[in-house]
Amino acid sequence: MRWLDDIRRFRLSVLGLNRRNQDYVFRYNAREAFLMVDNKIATKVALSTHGIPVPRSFAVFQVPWDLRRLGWAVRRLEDFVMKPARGSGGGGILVITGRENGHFRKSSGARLTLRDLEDHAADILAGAYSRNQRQDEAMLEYRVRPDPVIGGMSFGGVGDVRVLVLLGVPILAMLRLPTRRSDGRANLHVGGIGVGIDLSTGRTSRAWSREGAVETHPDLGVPLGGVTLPCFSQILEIAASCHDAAGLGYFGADVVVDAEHGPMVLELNARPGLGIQLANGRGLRPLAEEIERRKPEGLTVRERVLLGREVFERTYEDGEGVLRDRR
Amino acid sequence: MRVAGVLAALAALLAAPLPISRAADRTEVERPTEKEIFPGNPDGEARPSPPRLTTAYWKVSLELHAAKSPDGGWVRMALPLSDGRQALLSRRYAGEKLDLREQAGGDNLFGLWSWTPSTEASELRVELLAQISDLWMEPPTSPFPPPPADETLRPLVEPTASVPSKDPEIRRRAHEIVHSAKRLDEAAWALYQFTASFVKTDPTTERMDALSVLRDEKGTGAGKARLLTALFRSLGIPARMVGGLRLKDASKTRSTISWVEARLGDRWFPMDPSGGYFGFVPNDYLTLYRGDLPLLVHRAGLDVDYDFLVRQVTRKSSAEAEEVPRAEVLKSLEPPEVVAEQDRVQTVATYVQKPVATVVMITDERVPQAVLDRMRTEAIAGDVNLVLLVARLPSRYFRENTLRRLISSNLNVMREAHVLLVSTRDEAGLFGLLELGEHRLKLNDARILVTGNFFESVGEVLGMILYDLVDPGEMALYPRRADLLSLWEVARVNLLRGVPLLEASADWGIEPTVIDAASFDALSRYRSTIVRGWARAVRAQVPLQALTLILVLPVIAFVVVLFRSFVGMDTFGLFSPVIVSLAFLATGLYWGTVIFVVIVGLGAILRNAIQRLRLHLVARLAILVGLVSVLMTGLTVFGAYLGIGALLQVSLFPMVIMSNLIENFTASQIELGTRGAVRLTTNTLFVCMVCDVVVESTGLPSILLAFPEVLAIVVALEIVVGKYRGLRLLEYKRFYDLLRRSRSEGGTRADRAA
Repeated sequence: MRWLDDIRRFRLSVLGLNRRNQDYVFRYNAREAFLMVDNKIATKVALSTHGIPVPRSFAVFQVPWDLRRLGWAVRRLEDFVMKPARGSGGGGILVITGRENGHFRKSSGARLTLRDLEDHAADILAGAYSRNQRQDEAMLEYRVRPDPVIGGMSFGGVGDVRVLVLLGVPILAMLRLPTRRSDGRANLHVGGIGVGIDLSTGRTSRAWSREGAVETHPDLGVPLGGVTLPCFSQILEIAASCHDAAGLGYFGADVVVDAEHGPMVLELNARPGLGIQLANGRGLRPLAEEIERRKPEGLTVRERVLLGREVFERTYEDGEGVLRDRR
Repeated sequence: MRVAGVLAALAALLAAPLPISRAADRTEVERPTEKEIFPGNPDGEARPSPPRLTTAYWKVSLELHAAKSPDGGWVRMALPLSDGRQALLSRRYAGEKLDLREQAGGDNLFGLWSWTPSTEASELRVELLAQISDLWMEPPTSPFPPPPADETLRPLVEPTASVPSKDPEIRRRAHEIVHSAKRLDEAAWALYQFTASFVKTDPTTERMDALSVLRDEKGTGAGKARLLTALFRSLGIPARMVGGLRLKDASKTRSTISWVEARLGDRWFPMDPSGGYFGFVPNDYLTLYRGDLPLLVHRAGLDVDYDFLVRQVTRKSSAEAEEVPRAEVLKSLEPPEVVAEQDRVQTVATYVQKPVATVVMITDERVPQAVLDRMRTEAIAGDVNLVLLVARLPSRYFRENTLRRLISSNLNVMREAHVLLVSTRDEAGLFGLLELGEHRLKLNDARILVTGNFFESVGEVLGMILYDLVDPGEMALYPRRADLLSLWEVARVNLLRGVPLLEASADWGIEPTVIDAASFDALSRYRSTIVRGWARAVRAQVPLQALTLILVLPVIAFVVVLFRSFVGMDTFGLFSPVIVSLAFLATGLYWGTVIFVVIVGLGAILRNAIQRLRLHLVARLAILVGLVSVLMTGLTVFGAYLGIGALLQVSLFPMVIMSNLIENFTASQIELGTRGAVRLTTNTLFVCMVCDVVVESTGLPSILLAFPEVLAIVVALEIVVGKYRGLRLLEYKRFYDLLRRSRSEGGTRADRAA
């Protein structure tokens, strides 16, 4: 009965939603922390007070009355991003890449007037893009100009690195790339591509889209495997230090690499998706259990990153759900 | 002068409480000369209307007797129909070994009664209950001569053998009579006046045609009517004869009367030259047929005798007549009567002359004709009244509702029943019977036999609720659906030969659970409290069906939970599928799906259309609620139009939930794309369908009603499922690639080891 054995091993290695929710998300993440990461503004405040780099905010609009300041706020800005504080699934994000005789140019090339911007901001405030359709806040943010390596692999948006952090230890990471179909968003379930990253070397391994494994970017044609990511150790360290800043035990950190300012955290996700297992071709369960066994509490950020890399590199699954030394 | 006199006489006629008899009082004023002029109604002076138009109720029975004949025979008789003036409240046939068919012919209805040579003397009784009102009509004052008659009425101006309207003598006379008339009412009055006053009524039995009546200046009532018809037709005005009965309380008669209806303007204007009525038909005239027809036609050489027995009844007793005839009990060959819902609901009744018992059968299946015939024959042979109520409907909720409606609309039958025989697919019949309890009907000595596929213990508890409510003499449940015919046989031998139910059932190889007062002692205290509680609720007019829907809610929620955390199928929240499933239970799976798809589909389209208006969420939702309500109303009316009963239950679809579903659809369309939104919707629909099937097929509502403690088990299971941490079923599919890898890795490791 080999296939039964396979299924048993499979169940021991893959982390499913039920276990993720009960053994990780609700066990390690406090309720207040949830509320905080669901609000991008609050997250940014918490992270930047811990010295973690985040994209600069130019302005925040909390109530419709604030929108009268919008014109003033953008008067000197050449390019910027407007996003909802509690947006979900990347909805409601407006990217302005430049200005043309009084108009604002969208990333798609369409031109908007100040009035259009105000309308969009009003929509955000009314909760059009927020979870549960509650009233929301809008913010103007620095537009990230992606590092050429990652930028060269993204279509119509900014690719980011999703680092999965458990108890402050990065355990898996993947590069999330937008495609034509995902409409500039990097989320896997809307059609983005997830590329697995070898934690120890910072090199991409294999890529996964909604349809299955892919070799090259469907829109750009560039190969996705074997690419060494820029400042990867720094990315891991930033992600790991978010653990202390946000008070989350299990989360995904979305880190972008700006060509000018280097890596910075876009947002934290307290319920990170499980597609990262597919992108890396590895089940999460043994990794996560190994980290829990090593009790990383009390280690410094640097030590935790090293621990994560070591566990990732030196081990393989023996099929019994136990990690063994690779050598 | 004469005009005024005629008017006064007419007024007196109309004001008289009883119309004067035909033969008497007809004073011969003057012998008409050819120069006589009938000027008609003068302008400005309206015909006085009768003081008050009244309505009378009559019971008329036609008794037909045919002597034995060597080679059988047949009789065709005209039967009255309802029209604007008279309403036939009931029509029943009684007779022995008769074969009776109803036929339509022209404007009339005929009963064709036939019998075979073997039959001895045959008797037929037709019992009618009629509500007849006085009819008063003003003749139209449009110009005379009128435009030619419509194509459809053309036959009514053509001459016939007894009404030779093209005859030159008739034509000449008609033109002389109307002479200077300029308006229709003047012409009609002149013709009527001529026939009524200047033709003597002579009750000779000879059949007289219009021409001889005109020549002899005397005729029978029918003869005068023929003459008036001929006069009208000769002027190109369509006219027809009407045959009927003059009703008199507590009388026995066999003669019919005739009057005339002429097409004046766009109405049929009545005139009775023999009775002296112009534009008025009193409420003791029963119309039997229209046209110059005989009342009866029978095979040549047949000896047929008949009488009409007439009795005037009060309005109240006529209303009660619904049940009186049933008590009198007639043997009927009424064709199956279609009540509503496209032949899905039927009532078939067979009554015998002197019943020893009444059996009421209720079923939700089509009863094969052969079975029906056999039961009928046996019922007639055993002098048993048999009433069969059928409600064939797909959805459980509907079946139950219709059964309840059938039962409550036939309460009188139920009250008389000695045996109630209920056969349904599941326990819907038991639920339907609870309706009796809602009406506080006690069945006293009646026996109740219920069959259907249900759990014995559940049936027992439901049966005891019923027992507590209606207190029958004996009650037997057959938890595996038994054949209707065998149940009938059990009931029959029990009724006619007194074989106990248990024993009779054993002969047919079916085993009943008998419920009686002793069953209550066998119950635990807890269970009997529940039984009494439900019974009390029913007595307080709480439909148990609604209660079961409430009870079933947590189970549906559990199924949805299973789908989400065990199967891994994502839906629009927990509540939408739960509530929509409930609606599915009411409308049935098929129409439920149709309604769901229509509402969500159209809703999503409209939602996308109003997207560009950039409205606030609440305003948007309010618009969606409006849209959904319009759609639901539309679907309901559409359903009423096409006779789709399921659509009439659309209102059970939770409007707010549907609106929310549409909003969710669009929200997820923005977040996940149309494909994702459609996937979520189909998932929701699928889960609803599964819930519906689960609840319908397991008979869960009654299980919960009988054993509410099952809900505790559901809660316990929910705790277990809530603790489940293993992979969801669909995650095996999602992470299948990892499984493949682990296989190949296992393989390479095995190679390395080797």
